[in-house]
Amino acid sequence: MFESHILSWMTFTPLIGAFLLLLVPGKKVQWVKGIAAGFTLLPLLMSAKLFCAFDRAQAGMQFVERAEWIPGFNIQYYMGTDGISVTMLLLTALLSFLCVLASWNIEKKVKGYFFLFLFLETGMMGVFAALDLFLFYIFWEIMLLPMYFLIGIWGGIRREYAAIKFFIYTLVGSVFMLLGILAIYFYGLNPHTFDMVALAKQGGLLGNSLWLGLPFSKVVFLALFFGFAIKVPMFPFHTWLPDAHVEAPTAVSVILAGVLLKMGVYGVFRICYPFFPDAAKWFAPALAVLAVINIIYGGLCAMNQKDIKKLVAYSSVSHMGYCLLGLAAMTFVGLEGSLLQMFTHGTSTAMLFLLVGVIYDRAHTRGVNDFGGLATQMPVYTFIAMIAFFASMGLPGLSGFISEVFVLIGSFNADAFFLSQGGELVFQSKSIFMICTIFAALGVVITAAYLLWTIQRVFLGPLPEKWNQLQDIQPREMVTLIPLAFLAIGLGIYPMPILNLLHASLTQLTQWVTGL
Amino acid sequence: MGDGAVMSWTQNNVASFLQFWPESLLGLSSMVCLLGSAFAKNKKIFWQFLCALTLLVYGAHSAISLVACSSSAKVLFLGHLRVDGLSYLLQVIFALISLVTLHLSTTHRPSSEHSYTDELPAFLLVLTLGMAMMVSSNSLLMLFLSVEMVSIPSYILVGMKRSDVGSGEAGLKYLLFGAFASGLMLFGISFLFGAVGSVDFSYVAGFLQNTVFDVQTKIFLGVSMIFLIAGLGYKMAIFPSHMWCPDVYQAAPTPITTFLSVGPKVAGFALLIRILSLYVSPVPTPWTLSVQALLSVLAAVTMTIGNVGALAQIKMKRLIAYSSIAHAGYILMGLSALNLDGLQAAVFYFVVYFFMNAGVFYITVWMENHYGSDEIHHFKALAEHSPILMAVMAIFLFSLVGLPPFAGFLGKFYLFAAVVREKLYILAIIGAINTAISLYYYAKILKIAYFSQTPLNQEDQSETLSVGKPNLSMAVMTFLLAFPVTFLILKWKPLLTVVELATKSILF
Repeated sequence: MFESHILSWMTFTPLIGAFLLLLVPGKKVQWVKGIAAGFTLLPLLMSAKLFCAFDRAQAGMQFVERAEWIPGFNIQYYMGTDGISVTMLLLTALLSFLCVLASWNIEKKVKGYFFLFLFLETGMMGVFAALDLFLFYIFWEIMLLPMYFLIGIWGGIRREYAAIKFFIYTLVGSVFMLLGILAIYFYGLNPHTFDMVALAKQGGLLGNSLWLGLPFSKVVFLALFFGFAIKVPMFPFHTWLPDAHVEAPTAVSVILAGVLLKMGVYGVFRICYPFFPDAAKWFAPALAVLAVINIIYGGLCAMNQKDIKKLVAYSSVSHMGYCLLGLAAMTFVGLEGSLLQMFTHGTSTAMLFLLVGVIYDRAHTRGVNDFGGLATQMPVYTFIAMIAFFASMGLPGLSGFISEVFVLIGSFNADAFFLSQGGELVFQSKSIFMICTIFAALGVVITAAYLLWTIQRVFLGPLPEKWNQLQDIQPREMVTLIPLAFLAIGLGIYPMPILNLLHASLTQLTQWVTGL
Repeated sequence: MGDGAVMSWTQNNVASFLQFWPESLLGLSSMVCLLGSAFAKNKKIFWQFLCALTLLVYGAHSAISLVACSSSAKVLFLGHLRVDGLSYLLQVIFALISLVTLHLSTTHRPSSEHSYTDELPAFLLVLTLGMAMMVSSNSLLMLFLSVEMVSIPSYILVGMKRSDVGSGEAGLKYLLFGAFASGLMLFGISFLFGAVGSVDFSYVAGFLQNTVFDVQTKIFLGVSMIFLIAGLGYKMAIFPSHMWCPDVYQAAPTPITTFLSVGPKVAGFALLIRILSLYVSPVPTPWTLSVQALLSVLAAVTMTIGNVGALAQIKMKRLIAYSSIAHAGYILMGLSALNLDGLQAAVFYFVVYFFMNAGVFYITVWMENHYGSDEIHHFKALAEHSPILMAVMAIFLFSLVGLPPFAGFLGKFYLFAAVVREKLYILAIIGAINTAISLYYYAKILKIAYFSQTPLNQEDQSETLSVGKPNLSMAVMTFLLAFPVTFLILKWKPLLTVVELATKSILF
């Protein structure tokens, strides 16, 4: 019962907790927090079980649950996981639990906060576990509601603006996604289906049909990709991110950067690529260029920020560029790097946001230039911060290095080619990807530049008088950071635990996508 | 006319009357209420009770008939009325919205002294009867008569706050617009009659199946269609006959606004469905494409006007007026697919729309009762004093946007599905963009309620106009309405089955 429904349990345990919270009187703050912690710990324990029980040799879906939901429209309750989603489920479970701990000092409307937070976790888990497009879309949209309130009620000064901007931006993307999903449903397979596995197996959906003279499969591909690109966020749809990340409370920023951004890339992996490999190939060079813009532009923006949190937010834009570049390469190594980057960036950026939260709680400012010499005042904090900064920078021996190297190797060897409608090779070039890779590698230098400069301005130099009273990091904050720090170091030395999970499914995906 | 013909005429009508008893009950009960309330003014509660009881009986009868109905429709009064599944389903909605209106009117505390509620039970019963006949009309004559039967009491109800200048103005505006629309419709009807030579829908449908028309007939038919849709558009509040909507919604007593936003609108759509089925059934006629083009353009313009108009509103009823225009646009979008999917999606949406809109109005009335007006800044006070109610409001608003997991999402999903299936992608894209626009003003309400940092202003701080007893019944009703909106996603098969039952006798 439990074993075979583990994904449903992981998805809906937080929701059960959320409704349990409603029964607790709002004044009993400790109870509320306890329940929230308990009901995020349970999915984490389940994810450990998932990690152990996951069959690494199997490429297909595991822990599958399937039930008819609405037979008339062939909608199913269909959950399952493979190498592509399992790492994201682990990451979501881990970050959700740590974020509940990180939210311990929330004082305003505690019950509402944790209710929405648990609700959010259900949405996130569901997105990664759903294998029916309809179900996927529901989970995808469900996340918006708690997120809107979490930013809008518990956020910073410009939270109203940030919340509505995030909401509208994402909704624009997802309504186009809905149209794309409907087009896939009606014109993808016969009989009509939302079954993502069946649709992915089929591949090359919508054939050569035209719409207003445009190839229909590419139009639908772009409609879906638009929805995902906003979430990633890909240049030029990234403008919601700095606002939302900066205004959101610490834990919500962690979830935004650590999990929500990954959903965009995950959607491309799960839906866009296997469903429309031809459109993906056609779009790959453009995607590579946009990815490089993300890397360079995000990095340059980060370098120019006065606010540490905004700096971290822009660094996410830059780092997600590597995920996109790995996607664009469409080689096994590139895709593997992209997936690994999703995981490692999830851990390192989560650390960075938590660290910013720690210092903001004490100093009530996040200005880069307001600080200096914290290394002497807060040595433990500085030590953990160094791990996070260097992991994010991609220093060899830490997790960010491996994923970025994979992406760069993968994309350096990639081919750009255009096929005509009939499938003949029109144009082929290796140099596009080579040039993109060179620029992306340059991005690594930019990352190093802004992070080192930040370290210098915040941690080194003389300590300003006013920060003499700053406390070093507390045990509760340590608890949220240490698991992530271990992951950053551990995966930097030995990434195989994650790579083993990916391997079989990714091999199959690469075969589907490249047709080899 | 021979003796036999007279006999069969009489027999038919007598037989029809026997099957027409629920509607007759409505009419009879309305007379009793009207006369009774004139002579026994202080027995208001009794007439309200009678009205509610009649509506309950009527709604229950329709619901039972719907579930039990066979695929064949009931044709009454020599073919003037044709009662089928769709009629039954919508009659249930009409009975419900009338009940909701009645209940709201008993709990509503209007700011002016004069109570408009004395004659309301009688009018509601007449309106329900009129709408019931609208959705069952099977001839051009019945169409016109039933539309007027709904219109005239509506004019009166809108202008019922006699001490309020705005209410009178709105009533007059509604009347003038309505009279103009009736004129247009009558014009369309006469052209159609001129071309076809009969008022009977089945005859008209048969005539339209012809493939060859002479030029004059073609012009007649085209003109009649445009004028019919323009006239009906007034009831549905679609472009270009939507202009009355914000003013009338704003000035009418809020319970009446509730009624207008659901009852006549749905009835108008039902009549549109009947007329469309003449033009497109059962095989595509030469008209299909042009009808589709006309409806698509109207749908796109209507929802855009509604959504853009709502952006700047600061009064709840005005905002809902624009939003209801937008929702008419969405429904029209589904209908313009002109396939069975679109028809079912529209009917599905009627049901969902009733729950969402009635729920929103319950909370609006609550807000008016407590804070004296429907300006949306009061929602902040509401969130402070009644957080649960505001949370329910959030559910209704998200449902109106069409966000999962709420019922509005399912409604919109089916509408979009019908449009995508018919490959009207441009229309679908316009609909999608409109959904995103609409999010802004619905979310704005929540923003005001939850996010704003400014403290409550003096008048909102204490619930000055707070009332005691009706609160409980309002809260219960609000939750009853919120329940299906929230949990329909878990199992909407039953509703789908009902919708399929309701639409199976329509040739579309």
